[in-house]
Amino acid sequence: MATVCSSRADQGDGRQVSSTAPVVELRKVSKTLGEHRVLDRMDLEVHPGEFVSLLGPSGCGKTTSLRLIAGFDHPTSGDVYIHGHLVNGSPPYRRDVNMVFQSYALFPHLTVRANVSFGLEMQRLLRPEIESRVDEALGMVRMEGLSERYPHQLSGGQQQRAALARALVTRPAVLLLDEPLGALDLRLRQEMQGELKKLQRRLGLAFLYVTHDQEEALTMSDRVAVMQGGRILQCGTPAEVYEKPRTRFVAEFVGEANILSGRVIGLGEGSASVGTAGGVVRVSDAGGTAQTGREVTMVLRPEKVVLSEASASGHDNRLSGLVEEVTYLGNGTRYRVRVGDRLALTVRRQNAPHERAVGLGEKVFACFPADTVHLLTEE
Amino acid sequence: MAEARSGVAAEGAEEAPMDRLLRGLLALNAVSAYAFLYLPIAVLILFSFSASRYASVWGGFSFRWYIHLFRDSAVRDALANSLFIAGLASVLATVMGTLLALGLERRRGHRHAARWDAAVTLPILIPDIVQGISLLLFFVLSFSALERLLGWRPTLGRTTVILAHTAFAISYVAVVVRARLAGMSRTLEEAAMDLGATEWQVLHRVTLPLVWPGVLGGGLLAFTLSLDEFVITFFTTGPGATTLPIQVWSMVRRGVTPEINALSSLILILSIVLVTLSLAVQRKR
Repeated sequence: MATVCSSRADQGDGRQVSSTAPVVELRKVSKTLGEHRVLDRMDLEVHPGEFVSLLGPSGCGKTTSLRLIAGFDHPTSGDVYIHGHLVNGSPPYRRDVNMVFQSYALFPHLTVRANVSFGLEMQRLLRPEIESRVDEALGMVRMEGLSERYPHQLSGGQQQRAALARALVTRPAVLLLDEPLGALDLRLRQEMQGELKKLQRRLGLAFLYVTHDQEEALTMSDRVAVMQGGRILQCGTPAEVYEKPRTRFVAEFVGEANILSGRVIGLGEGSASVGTAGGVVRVSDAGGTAQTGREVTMVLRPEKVVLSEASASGHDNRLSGLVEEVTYLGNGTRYRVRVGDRLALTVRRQNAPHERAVGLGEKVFACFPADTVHLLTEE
Repeated sequence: MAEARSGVAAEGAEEAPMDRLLRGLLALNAVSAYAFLYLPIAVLILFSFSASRYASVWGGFSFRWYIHLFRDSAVRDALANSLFIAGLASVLATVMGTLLALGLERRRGHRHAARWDAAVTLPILIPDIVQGISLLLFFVLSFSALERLLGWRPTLGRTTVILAHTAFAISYVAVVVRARLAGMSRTLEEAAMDLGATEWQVLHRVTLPLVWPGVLGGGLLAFTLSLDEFVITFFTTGPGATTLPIQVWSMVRRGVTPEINALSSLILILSIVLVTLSLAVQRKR
């Protein structure tokens, strides 16, 4: 079930990310540590100027794949290409990629300026050029005023910026970022997300970004590759991954999801009727994969469901149920609506002015159009 | 104690008699423990300034024995030997111990890494007398082998003492440097390599500057240990290679004089200075 993660293969929405050769490419890369298979025949392409996220729980192999590209580890089998050159055995210092570490890994005995100029000194550039490029990089991350400080004199956010400047200044083919915002608090993280994205666009630099934060991956990326157990389960634009998850794991890892399972009891034109624990659900089936009698699993996002008291018509699906849990979230409310003995739906509603609050224990109808129910094609 | 407690103590919260007794006993223990540790040394230093001809009789304050000491050519030679041996042994041990520590750190997490680690630390726990005898045996056997091969038989002397001191000091240096390395993340070396530094550049631009305090601290420790070492030296030394501790020992055999008090005091001061220096540089960030 190796999923090819390439922008060329994923242009279903007509978006042309890039048509040039990939800057980084993994082909059937596996990594085994002892008995444990950390990566399992992984394929990945990152194109110039592209922001690709590797999203997955810890231990899914996302950091390992970065380390293989950086050259800290070497694949057990398969090939790694940078700029079209096979780099399998070459050491990190021969690779045109730079990494931003989760721990920042700033050199504690050097000032910010010396940290940033390190990579340029290794390239044996002339002093005036080093100085001007360091100034430029420090300017990009708004650290000009702190260049003479030592890392321990900086806050977490400032260390993050310094680490970013150090990795950017050598103008690598691709920047590898290993959960770079993981150690920052929420406010700072959100601020840095915006800045990173802006910087990436402005420089037109390819980013390969590792994160376990699905929101971060969705908001920043051109493409998201969802990983589990050393494999890419699905790779696509944030919208594709969210709206059309291929597996249950992807559906549940990326955002909140109601998982409905049942048996196909009827087929219509591009749609199917599925008997579930909450009643019959009509689902659009553009791919025509459903067959009568087949067990299927469907995904319904909580925000697609509307709660109404009257048995209002005009909805493809209308499941009656009882509100058994109400959670106020500030900008919205999350309901738990029991629609069957073995099925309760999570429903999210925005805190919009015209919406009437639904109370605990109320009898309601959970309504949703057929095309918001997504049929999973793989298990 | 009672005054300190009265501010917070509620009515009737008087300390239990047993607790008060326990407190008293603990205080007494602390005082006597420190007295045990430092009183003999204080007496030694005090009596090194005694004008009396007898080591244990106070004869008024005088620098007489210190002056006497510096005029004693045997003591001067021993000091020179000690410094030479400690200098060379500590440099050798520092280089070998540091490289060993770097290697062990690199192998951390590999199979048997813990055993190799333990094998470096173990000599610290081996009794000096065992180490001394084993080194003597080793030297004698090596000499015989050399004699058979080259027809030339080396003798015990400064070289063997230097080798012996290097052998036991390697462990100490490796332990000190490893402690420093443990506080340094391997990620730093990876970051340097990622930025284009070769292994060699990583070593001298990142690793060594960061472990330098550990290296220097380990080296000073090795120097101090070599300077103070008696048992191993006793077994491996030869004519013309008398170190300060050996000199003290041979002087004591002829009777304890105030001159020995003075010499011991000097060795003590030197050791304290060196160890303090070693700890101070190790603490450097």
